[in-house]
Amino acid sequence: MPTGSRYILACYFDTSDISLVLLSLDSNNVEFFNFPYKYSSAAFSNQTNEAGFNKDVIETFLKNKKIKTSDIEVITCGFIEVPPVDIETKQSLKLVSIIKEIEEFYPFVVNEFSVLTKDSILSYEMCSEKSQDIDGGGSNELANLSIYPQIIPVDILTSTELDRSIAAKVESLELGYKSKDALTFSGSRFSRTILYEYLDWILAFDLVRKPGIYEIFLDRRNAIPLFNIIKKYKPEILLNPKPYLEVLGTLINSQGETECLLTSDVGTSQFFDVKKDGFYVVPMLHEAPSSLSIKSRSLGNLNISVSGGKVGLIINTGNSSLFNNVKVFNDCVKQLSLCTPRY
Amino acid sequence: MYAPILKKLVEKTDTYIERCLPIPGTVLVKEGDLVRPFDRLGECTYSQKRTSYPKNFKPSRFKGDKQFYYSGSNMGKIGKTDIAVPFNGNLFRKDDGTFVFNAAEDRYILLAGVWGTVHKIAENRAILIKTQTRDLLFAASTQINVSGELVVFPNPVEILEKYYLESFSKNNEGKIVYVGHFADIEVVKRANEMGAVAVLAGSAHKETFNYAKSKGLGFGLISGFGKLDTPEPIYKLLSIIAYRYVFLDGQKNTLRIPHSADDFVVKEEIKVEKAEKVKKGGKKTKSGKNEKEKVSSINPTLELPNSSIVKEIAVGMDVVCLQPPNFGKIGVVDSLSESSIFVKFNTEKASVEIKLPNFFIIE
Repeated sequence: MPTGSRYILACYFDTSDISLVLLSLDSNNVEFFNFPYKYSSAAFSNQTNEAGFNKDVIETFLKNKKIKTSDIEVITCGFIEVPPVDIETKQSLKLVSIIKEIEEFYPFVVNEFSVLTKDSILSYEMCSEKSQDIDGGGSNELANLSIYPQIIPVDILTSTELDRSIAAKVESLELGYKSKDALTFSGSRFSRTILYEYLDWILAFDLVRKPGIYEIFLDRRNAIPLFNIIKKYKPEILLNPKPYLEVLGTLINSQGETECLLTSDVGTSQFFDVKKDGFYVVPMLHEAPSSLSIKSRSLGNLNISVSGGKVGLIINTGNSSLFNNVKVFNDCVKQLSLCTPRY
Repeated sequence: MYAPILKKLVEKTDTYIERCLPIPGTVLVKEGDLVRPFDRLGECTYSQKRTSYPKNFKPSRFKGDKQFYYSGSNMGKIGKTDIAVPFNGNLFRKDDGTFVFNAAEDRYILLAGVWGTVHKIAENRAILIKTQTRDLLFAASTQINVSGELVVFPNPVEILEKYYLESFSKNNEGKIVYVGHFADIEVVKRANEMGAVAVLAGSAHKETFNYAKSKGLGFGLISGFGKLDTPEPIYKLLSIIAYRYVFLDGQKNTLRIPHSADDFVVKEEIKVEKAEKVKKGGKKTKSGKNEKEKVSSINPTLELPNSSIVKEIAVGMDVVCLQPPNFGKIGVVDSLSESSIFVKFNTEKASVEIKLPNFFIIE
């Protein structure tokens, strides 16, 4: 390591935002920063290029932290391509190349136009004028998104339409996750300011289509991509992303009618029968593990231990996207909005 | 909370603009000459209009390879329809048997269009001028590069746009027309039929943009897609520079507005406007101190290579909103919260919450 380097700054450039993590090599402390904007030629080409813009973002962060550029080693990672940065970087990686090496979780990286998993890139559409080409078939809203990729829709209709198009990308695709896996959801779709938190949850649950039992985590800081690029750069540095993930709870994907008996550790029990194409949420704290007996055609008869989270225990008995059935979608919103402090 | 700075107007002091004769001719300036917009750079003589006719066109009195006709006389028939000569010129037979009518050669004079210095002359045809421009960045534009006299409509209500197009500015041929906050498709179609080389507006629907693109028409949108307003300071700037020769660089999303090196008209106008607003009185800050009211405006920013594009948001800054129903409007930050800002727009007394990142700082 060069003399004087006291920090590693890892930068992850997604299609709508930039996530940074500053790792102190002295204390091993990490500090996250999200800049919810990205370079857009339509907005900034009269001032700077992409490399200059990215450099300004990094330098602003360092200036705020009162850290000299000479004290850090910068490593960068891009969603598909690594964007240019007008700063000397020690390593530049594509997320595609490092996501395959993640073992502890099955990662989904989601942004407004694409889904990247450990074994698939689903309909990558770069949020740019070239691919959107402004003259594509989309709406005014989509055209504005191609000019200003950072925009977060503030109406539920546009948000839902965008999510529906993301969810449609995983329709009937065979992804490599297995039942009982811990699934994480990173990317700019989840890392930016939340307007309707329950829509984030619905999208995450909807992207999991295979029958099974899963632990669901939201990675709002992009800790998984960031920590893995550090791991790739300095394999001796071991960082655990789990404390930085938001635990949503346990998702039971069971295609068809499902009977459940939930027994808490203090002995109280609750029975519920979720009909086919149903969605049911049982609020459960993460710190209160319970045992669950399940009877379902697709999962069989199971006795498992489940832990809750911000949402709790989620049972989805449909075999198609939640966005395809207005009644089920409304039911999701109704139940999940009760789990959101704002609603 | 940090956000990037959007600079809709940038002052460029080293713009190079190429003015070109359609064919090689006589160049009337030399390298190093100072030029102003109405100075003649060069001239040439060539046929400036052309009309093609279909296979079933039968010319009358056509002998040899070409035939001269006077404007208004009978040139022949297409089926049973008589075809009148559109302008004085010559009819030619092409190799495929069809006919093309070229206007009689006429003198073409190339004007400078800008204030600047002749930098280079090439092939008795192209003159490169070093000049200074105020560049207006569009949110979106068709990839067309054109130049022409700027005609500015007074931000009319939609119903009046066509009226303005047909009555207020009767000869739009070769002009760049700013049609108001919103460009309706009918207005854009009419502008294209009338020979305008480009249409500018605050906003338009995507289908209108697609139409302009399909027709090879220059089309620049200041705020974006949908029904969005042109920010007032930009409209004021366009009003001030109406009838000036301007350059639409569609590939760079930019309208280049030339000005003389000592032209401070725009800056002065903005200063006067600010001073007037300040005169009307200040507002009290939370600390009770009397503060001069901040007026939302866009000042042309001089290019500073070392200035950062990212800034910390603070009360009193101008921001452009990218969130309905105020999309495209410029306001002043009134207060800040953890993940949003509260913005006051000129038209509203109460402040409006705008979520991060649905805004840019604007300078």
